[in-house]
Amino acid sequence: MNNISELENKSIYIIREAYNRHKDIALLWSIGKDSTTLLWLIRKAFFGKIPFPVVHLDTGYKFKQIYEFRDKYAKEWDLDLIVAKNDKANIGPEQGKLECCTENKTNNLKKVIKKNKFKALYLAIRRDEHGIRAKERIFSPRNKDFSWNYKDQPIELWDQYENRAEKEEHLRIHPVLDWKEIDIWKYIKKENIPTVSLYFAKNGKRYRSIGCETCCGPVDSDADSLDKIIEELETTKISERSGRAQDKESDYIMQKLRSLGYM
Amino acid sequence: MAKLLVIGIDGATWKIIKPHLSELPNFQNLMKTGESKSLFVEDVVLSAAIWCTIFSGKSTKEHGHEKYVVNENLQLRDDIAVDFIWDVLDKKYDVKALQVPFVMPPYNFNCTYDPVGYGVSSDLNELKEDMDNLASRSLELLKNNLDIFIVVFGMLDKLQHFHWGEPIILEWYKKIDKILGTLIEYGEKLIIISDHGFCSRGEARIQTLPDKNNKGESLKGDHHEEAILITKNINYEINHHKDVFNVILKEINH
Repeated sequence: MNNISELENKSIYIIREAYNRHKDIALLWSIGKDSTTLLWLIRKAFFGKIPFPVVHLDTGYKFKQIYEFRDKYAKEWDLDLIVAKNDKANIGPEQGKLECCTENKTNNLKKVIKKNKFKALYLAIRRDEHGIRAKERIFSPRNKDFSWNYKDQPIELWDQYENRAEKEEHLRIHPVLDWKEIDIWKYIKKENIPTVSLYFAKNGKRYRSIGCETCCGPVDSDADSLDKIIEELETTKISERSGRAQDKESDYIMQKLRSLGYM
Repeated sequence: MAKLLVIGIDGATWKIIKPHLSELPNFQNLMKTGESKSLFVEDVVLSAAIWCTIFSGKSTKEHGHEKYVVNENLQLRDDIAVDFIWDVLDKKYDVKALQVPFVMPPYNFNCTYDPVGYGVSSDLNELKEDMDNLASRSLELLKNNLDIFIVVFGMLDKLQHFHWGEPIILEWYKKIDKILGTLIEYGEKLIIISDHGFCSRGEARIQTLPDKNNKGESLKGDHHEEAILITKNINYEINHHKDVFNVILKEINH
């Protein structure tokens, strides 16, 4: 069995295990390659029909191609799609990226969870994406403020995942946590999973990571096909998120340093 | 337990420690049973630069890193073209470093820790919470055997900028003293070091921060070039901040 098949098997096991224990569950779908891959895995796990809602947190600033992709495949895959928009937030990235993300993503998600009484969520984060994520767990309890106590994490051994949603507000499940960026693309190629066109190069640029149009930028690349993307990833030393504007944490830190007088 | 334990205390100064030794029992004991001296900063008296020097063995001119932000870009570890002591030792030893403030948020190597407020808070409650959390996390890591453990407490520096000359300063040195007491039991060889000292704003050689911050809060203290050094069971001389790198190398191979 090759690496991709092993990853697929483990992810499907986790997906089914989670649903077995938590029927009030949903998938967070950002329409990016990772969450679309996760959605695909979930469709496989449940023989083509996802038995729970799929949530898109719409900040209102996404690329046009993201909205088009979402609407097309939500229909084609017969998804129970919830598009969640924080209409009362009235805040954009010009008022501070951390503030914008907090209102349009974090607080938006809190409202969705409360309204739908979700006890668990599937998310497509991967350890290799960002240093902060390296310490995540496959089953990760969160309290009502979404805080995560790194000191109090369940031990994780294969086949012995500890589910603790009954104690916490919601449980986050990360079935593709151990997948690397290149694994995702190899799986996309193997399964012929549709992906947003922004990932493929046009005029010497492509997006390795997509989100809000205001905060994402392309990287230099000529990879306009799956094979070329995979080949590029096998040799590149540039990080996946390098095309993103200074992320929200860095933006906040700079604001704070400025207010203290360091800048 | 660590064979070599380095505890950094950003901004720690003899101006507070020496006159109050009877109220700082762990500092007092360390100075009696080990060796203590002053280190003087000859380059820029800036934390980013000095912590970089301490753990790279290079002067500010050699490593080129002075500030947390350059041209509106937050400096990251990879922007500094040096090998730090942990990079060099990692090939052969079990080395961990927590919260080294040569960049913001402070840097961790081979271990994890999320500082309160990303390590840039000036709120007293957040600073206290961060200090306690960092002490707990350090203790947790030291309970496993490792070769080198480095931790830097950055909270005192911010406190002294805003509250220099007030009774709260001594109160916080007492907290640090207590934390020292719990951590030093887990180190066979000890280095306790600050990047610079402190003094009132008028006395300082240069003004590292403006008189008031963006919130209109007045700053009362600023960096002084005299830093502290306490060592125990260290066989080699440290006379300048940049000596620490080579001394760690020699000590671990001793």
